[in-house]
Amino acid sequence: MVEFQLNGKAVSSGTGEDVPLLFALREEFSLNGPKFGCGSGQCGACTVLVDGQAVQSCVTPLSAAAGSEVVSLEGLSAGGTLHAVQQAFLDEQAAQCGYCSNGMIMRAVELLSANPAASDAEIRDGMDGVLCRCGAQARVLKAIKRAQSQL
Amino acid sequence: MTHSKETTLSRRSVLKGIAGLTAFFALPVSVRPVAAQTKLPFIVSRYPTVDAWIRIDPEGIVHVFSGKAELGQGIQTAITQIVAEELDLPVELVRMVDPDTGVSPEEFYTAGSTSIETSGMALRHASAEIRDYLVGMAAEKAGVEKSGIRAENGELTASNGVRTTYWSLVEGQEINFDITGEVAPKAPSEFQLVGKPQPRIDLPAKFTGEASYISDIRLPGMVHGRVVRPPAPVFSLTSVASGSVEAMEGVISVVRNGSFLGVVAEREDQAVAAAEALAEAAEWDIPKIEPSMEDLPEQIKSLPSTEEVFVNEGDVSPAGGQRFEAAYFRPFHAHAAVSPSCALAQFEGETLTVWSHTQGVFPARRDMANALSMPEENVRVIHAHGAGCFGHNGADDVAMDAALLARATGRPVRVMWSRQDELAHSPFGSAMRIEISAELGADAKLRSYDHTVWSGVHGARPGFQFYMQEKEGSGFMPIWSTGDGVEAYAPRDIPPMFGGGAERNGEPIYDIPNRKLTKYLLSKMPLRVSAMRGLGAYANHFAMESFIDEVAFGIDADPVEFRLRHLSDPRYRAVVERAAEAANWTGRSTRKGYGRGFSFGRYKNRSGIFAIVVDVNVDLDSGEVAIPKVAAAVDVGQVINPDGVINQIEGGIIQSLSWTMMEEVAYDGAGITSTDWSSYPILSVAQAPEVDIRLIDRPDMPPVGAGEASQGPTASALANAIFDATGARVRDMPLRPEKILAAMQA
Repeated sequence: MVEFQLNGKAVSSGTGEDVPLLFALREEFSLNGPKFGCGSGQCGACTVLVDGQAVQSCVTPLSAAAGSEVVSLEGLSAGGTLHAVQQAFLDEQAAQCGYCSNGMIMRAVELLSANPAASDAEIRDGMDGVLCRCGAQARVLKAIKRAQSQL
Repeated sequence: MTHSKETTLSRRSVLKGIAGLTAFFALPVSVRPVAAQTKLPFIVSRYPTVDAWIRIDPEGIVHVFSGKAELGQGIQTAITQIVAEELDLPVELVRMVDPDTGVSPEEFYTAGSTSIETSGMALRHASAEIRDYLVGMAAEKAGVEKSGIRAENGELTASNGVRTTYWSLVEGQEINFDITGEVAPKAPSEFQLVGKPQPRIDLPAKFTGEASYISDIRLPGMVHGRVVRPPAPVFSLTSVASGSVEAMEGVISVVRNGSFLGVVAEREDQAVAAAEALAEAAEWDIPKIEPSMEDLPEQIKSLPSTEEVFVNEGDVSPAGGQRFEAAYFRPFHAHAAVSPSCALAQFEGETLTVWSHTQGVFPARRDMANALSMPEENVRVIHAHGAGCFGHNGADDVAMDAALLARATGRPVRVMWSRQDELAHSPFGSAMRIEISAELGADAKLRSYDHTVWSGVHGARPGFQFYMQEKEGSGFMPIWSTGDGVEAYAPRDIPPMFGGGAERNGEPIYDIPNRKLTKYLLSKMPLRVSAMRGLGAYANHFAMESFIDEVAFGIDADPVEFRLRHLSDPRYRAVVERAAEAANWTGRSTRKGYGRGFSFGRYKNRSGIFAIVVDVNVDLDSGEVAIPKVAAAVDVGQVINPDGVINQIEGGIIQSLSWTMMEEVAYDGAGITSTDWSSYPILSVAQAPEVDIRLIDRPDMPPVGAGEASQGPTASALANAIFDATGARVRDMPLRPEKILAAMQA
């Protein structure tokens, strides 16, 4: 059994230590936020926060979450209030299909908490490896800037 | 199943509404205000009654039925605005039901940027007529004229104070009269919602992790399937030692049917692991893929083809003026959505239900039923949201994968493709070669323009064969490799009535008296091809508008002014001028390494009108291109949701920059080699330009789509900007640094 905190609650999973965290979160805990995109850590769709760090859950074994605090997209607004980054993405309508939004939002949350005064160049670099196909990239950058001014 | 809450509720109330029908006779037509008969969209003749489109639930919700699907383009929001506008309702009380062969009107495919023109306009008329009808009922009840009724939030208040609501009026009634076109929808000056920015209705759930996508659907007893294929368009399975895979933990069954090889397991991670092991255990025979990637740009002209001349006006043969000619190439492009394709299938007795992010639930059902030798009425296809859809991607094929695995195992099966499957097996946008020759007249305007295109087809979707009178075969790739004896149907290209396929936008909209457009449709391409955003328009625009820039440069004319010489239509001139103004266009760059490119076009020559200026900085040592800024103007007629249009245009621009600058499907003799994000890179967040879009609203013109207006002009504007910065004219895409350097040295 692997025990960890998931969105503020103590949980344990018997799915298997080597199983990618993504599959455990989606199947055992019925989360929808983290998404399958590539299975090789290249696109960021599966991003969750593990002890505040944005990790790609498709290439992270469940065992790596043991004893950690895991936060998914669902956990950002657990109290019923949207996180400033989620709100900024809504305000900027920073998506088309929204499938990449999980990765964009989770990575931005980590980025702004680690570096609240991130420069434009640091924001651009910090979003490396989170892919969008619909062309929302420019809006994503605007949304992160907006969230930065709110935090 | 844990489908989205709203959908489950709405479907239940819809069914209740249908069950509670009672006979009702409409008020005489004569009491309706008779406006000039409006031209109704064709689809209304197929679904003439209002209840095919709109049903009012007495519990206070309006259900909207459309055959058009939310693909990430925001159609759900725009259509909701249209209906809410005509019914004087807030958008929150209007719910659009995802297309479902069980309840929705059959509306072909969600394709070609036509959803607003067709479904949107059918719904506008249906809504206006229902409102008029209910106002008539309220007026009769209150004993006043219809003009004495005020509608707001579903409440109808008469001038004498008598009040009722839509909801109480429809209780126990069947509202199913024919749409007549005799009730005028609102005039644009009366709009409260249409034409104003409306935040996307579906995004809050998508930003908070609520079940929103097909991959979030969890059916009771559902198991997970994967199909194993080599990354090649044609293959046959010679042997597979699957014993060890069958023994893996969680594996329910290895399914083999001819060369169709799949595995079904209890959990997704188990299916993934089993599929990897199965791939190791399988031996394939793969016919050599020819011509090679390197030879294709030249050899594409000698592949078997049929010639068709679409335009032949005047005489394009040399007449003694200054002549120009050039050849352009577009490689194969991948849809490359961030989510791999996904589907679920469930057999219950003789009936099959499929959840799919297909562009056409009805055509998919027809083809699937035919391919599986089932009666059509025993197959139901329900649309669920997928990742961004840009044409005929893997959505349909994965649905057939799920159906075949569900048929073999008797379990509800969910299949999600791998990234490799997605990049190797979704049909590609066709490689194309374009040759243009033109001649300048004595007035320094083009007197002739001759455009020839070589291309594979741009439409091979499942079900399309039935619209094209072909009855044999299937458009579902998975069925071709089974032992069921169903082959690929012989695709033809998209006919001109739908805007054409490979030849789309090969005819200039400039005032040029002599013009010719010829297509060589290639019957067999090295890779599987079908519809991708813009179809032939993308490459034809790239070629044509690069060419126009070359001619303008050749005679030392300003690219904007040169285009305006050939444009008399005031709408076209306005778009060109607005884009130039947004970019502070002052002519070509004088600084080496910095360039500006202009381009213009009208999608399908009858849809969205678009012009753009792309700015680039090119590193003259490495050839690396950075795009700091783009500015554009667009006219899509009457604007329903301004922010929706801007988002579609902006997305189209950024996607086209990615296609044009960096994308190319790579293959060798044995298969596709660009099967992950490092071998098929797309534009990153860091590479995104600042985008400035100017919208020209034409409230009195019919609304047209925005999704495909921007890609072709953007591609050519980028090429023109690179030329402006470096003097390097790159005519074969992608415009990669090594080609820019080579052209600079040429």
